[in-house]
Amino acid sequence: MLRYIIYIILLLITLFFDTALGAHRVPVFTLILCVIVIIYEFISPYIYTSR
Amino acid sequence: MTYLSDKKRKKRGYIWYSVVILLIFIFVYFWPSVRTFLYNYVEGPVIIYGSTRTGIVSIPYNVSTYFKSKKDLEDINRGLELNIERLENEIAVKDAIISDNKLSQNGSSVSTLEMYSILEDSTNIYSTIILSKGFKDGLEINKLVYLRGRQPVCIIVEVHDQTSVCKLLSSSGSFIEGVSPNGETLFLKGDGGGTFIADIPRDAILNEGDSVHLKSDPTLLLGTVVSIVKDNQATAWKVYVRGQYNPITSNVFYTDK
Repeated sequence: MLRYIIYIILLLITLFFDTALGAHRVPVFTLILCVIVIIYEFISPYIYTSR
Repeated sequence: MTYLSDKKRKKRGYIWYSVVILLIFIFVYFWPSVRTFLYNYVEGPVIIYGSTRTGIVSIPYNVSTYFKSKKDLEDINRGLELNIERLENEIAVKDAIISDNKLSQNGSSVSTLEMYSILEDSTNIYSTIILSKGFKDGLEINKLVYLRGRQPVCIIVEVHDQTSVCKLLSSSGSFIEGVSPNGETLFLKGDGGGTFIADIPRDAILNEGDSVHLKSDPTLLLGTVVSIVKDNQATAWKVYVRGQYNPITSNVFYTDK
């Protein structure tokens, strides 16, 4: 649950910078964040963590 | 270790990823209008951040300016004003090119020669000016001299080694042809100073505030109509056009190289 809250906060931050810094055509920071989140969510079940 | 198949869960995962990716594509597609909407809320913090940052970054410059002499500050100011005038000239050229939709012989930029008024001829007040450039700088007789924003004011009549004499277009008794916004030719008579007078037919379409351009080069603004005197007993209306020349404020003059 905490993970999703962090994702939303990061999304708001990237949206702010995309809006303020004038990304007219593509929200670059938001896209980069989405790609990183998707890749992380996809591979995280396969990350082996020893306890 | 478990032998249970996890296929259902994996299938849900793939569907979930597809939905997310689709949502991202839709968001990116509509981003320009979304951004316009979001910017209304973001503008406040951006302005605060920008002004704070500018204030901090300009501290060294403000401190150094405080210790500069008045002469240095005036020189810097003068340099900046000349820069503004040079840029205004370039903008006027580019505007003319855009409106005419054609290139000048030199391409899209014109280089100019900068000159200063040394003094006005006191025997013919508001008639001639003596400029600070001459034969050595490539000036020729009959060259048009203009103010900032390519507004012609005088024509060179004498060229000496390092100075030249420029006769004002608006000098008393001289004539010049202008063109109104409707394309009608105006025969402007110089009234001394920076003013012209012209007679126009009673049915001519001309209003106060209209711009009058030079007929020989319609990219050059000659002046603005300030008054139209409509005397019903006269055969023509009298039009007063104010040119750009002002002996107090007009200091820097330009001509095309």
